[in-house]
Amino acid sequence: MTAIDAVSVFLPQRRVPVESLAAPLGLSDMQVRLFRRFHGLTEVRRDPALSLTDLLLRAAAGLTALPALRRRVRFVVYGRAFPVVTPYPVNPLHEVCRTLGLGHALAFTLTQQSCASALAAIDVAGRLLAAEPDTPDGPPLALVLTGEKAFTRDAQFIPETSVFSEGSSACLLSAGGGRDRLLAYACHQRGEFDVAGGESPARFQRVYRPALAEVIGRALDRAGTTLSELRLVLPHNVNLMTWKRLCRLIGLPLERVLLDNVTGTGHVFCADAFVNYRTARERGLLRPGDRYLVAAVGAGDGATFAAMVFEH
Amino acid sequence: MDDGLHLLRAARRTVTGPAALLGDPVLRERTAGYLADLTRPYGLRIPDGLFDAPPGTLGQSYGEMAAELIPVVVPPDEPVDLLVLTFAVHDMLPGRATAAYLSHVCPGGPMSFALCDQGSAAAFTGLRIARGYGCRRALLVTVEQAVLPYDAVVPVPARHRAVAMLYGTGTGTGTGTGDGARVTALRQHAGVRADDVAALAAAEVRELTTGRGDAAVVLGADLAAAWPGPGGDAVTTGPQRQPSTGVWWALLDRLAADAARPRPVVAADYEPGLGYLSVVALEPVSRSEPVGERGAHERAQPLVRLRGADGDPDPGAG
Repeated sequence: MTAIDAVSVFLPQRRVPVESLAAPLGLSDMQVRLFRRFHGLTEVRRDPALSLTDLLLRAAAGLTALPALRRRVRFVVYGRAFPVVTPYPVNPLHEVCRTLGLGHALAFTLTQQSCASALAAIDVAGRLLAAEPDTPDGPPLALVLTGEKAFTRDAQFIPETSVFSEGSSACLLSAGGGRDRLLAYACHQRGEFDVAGGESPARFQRVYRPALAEVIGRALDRAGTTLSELRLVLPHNVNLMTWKRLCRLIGLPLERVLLDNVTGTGHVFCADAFVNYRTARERGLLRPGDRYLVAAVGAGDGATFAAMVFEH
Repeated sequence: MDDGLHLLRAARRTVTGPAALLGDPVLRERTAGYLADLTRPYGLRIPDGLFDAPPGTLGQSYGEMAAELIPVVVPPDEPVDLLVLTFAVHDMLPGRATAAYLSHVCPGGPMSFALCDQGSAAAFTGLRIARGYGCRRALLVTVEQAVLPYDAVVPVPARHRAVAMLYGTGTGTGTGTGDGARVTALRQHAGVRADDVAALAAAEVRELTTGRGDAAVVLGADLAAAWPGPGGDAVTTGPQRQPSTGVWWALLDRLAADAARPRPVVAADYEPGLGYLSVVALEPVSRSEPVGERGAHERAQPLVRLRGADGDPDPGAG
């Protein structure tokens, strides 16, 4: 069973108030107020001095066990929201692998599920590990990376919905670890909301919460658990209002959703799950045996709704 | 019961026409902005007037290239569970979640994602992932376009090409086309230096063809350049300057050519920029049938059906 053995997160220190985004993005005062007052999004993290490679390496550097375990790392899977983030053939993933001494690992990017790509990356890495024989140094491991720069307009904000923070994460996965075991994964894609799919943004707004509720329910069913048995929900940091409304829809007490990072960090692309996991651990919110759910929505062109249930 | 994946059907296409989506001025403007932001930190330049050019000269949409092949290989009554899109060179809609769209137009509404940043190894990785999913059917689509919209000094593919391959479990797939060619081995090596790839590839092919004197070998062009093994009719080489689709294009040629007398095939490719050697072995399922048990009309049919016209204006050039 796939398990997360270690998690590291990097967020730039530099904080940018949402008001500062107004001029460069051409946002009106009303739009800024919507972010701050309605959605609870007050600031994001951005650092123009840090490259994408820098972000990924800083997250990996937080995995203190990695240098000793690197020869067991067979796969490096980079879950990324934006499909193309550098000109071809610039390849930050392989730069990171070389720097970390992981040139022996199979490294690739998994994308086109927008901000839900990280959960698919965990699922895929787990399946690859399950089929992989032991290394001479022990059971194989996978390194799952996330990390993005707010390099273009679409990567800076989602109109009327969210603002993005730069950041990154790194986690070590094994096929048989015992720390955070993956019990179930569910994913539902709605490609009709692509530019060629013909569906309207207004309809997307209407299906958003019911679709997320459905995929959460499916993940819970597969895990053989219920909403009431969950200790915690680690959300995507899209905004506060979405989660307040979703909680009402599915009957989940809002206090069981870890929303601490929405206000001060915003939406860290694919890294939200790991940012929130770190906070949950720092606050001592997860005890051995606790079950928790991770939710993600990829809402670029096309939409992907995903949820995972773990046991800590 | 054989629960491994079989290559059941395939289709491929050389695209010569314009991408319809790039005729949309809103999308063109959005793409222009995205590409400007993408290239600026790297000091690359987008040619002046690029986005004033007719769509036919601008480049391709991988969504359109793949969507055209899906109905050719996937009948509506054969739902797919997993769709993997792979590419190295990006298309002209680089911010688009194309795989999510393809899920919408593929029977079964499969789980879908794209793999990239791995050069020619990505399609092999996609097949490896499909094996791990244990699904009834998986659709693997690999795509490449022949242009880059900025002045990067790197080789680009010779043509816009796409290959779609439907893989499924060997029994109960309801294809009515036989059980195709079973994937019997799939191996990938990382960190392979150019000086070492010839010996490693030869050793892999030798091991996978031991005792199979009739086995065919298909090599991507980058591996063929280093290939130390025997040549002749047993070796098929992929077309030059088609790094993502070439080996699969040649594999389909080989399977089609061997339709009357199917034989094992080992296909391999080397990604020189990133150091990956990938090898896949396929075994025709009906190979053990004594010759003569297949009727003449059956022998005329390939075990793996290559469907649809290539649409290649110059097929002889590979």
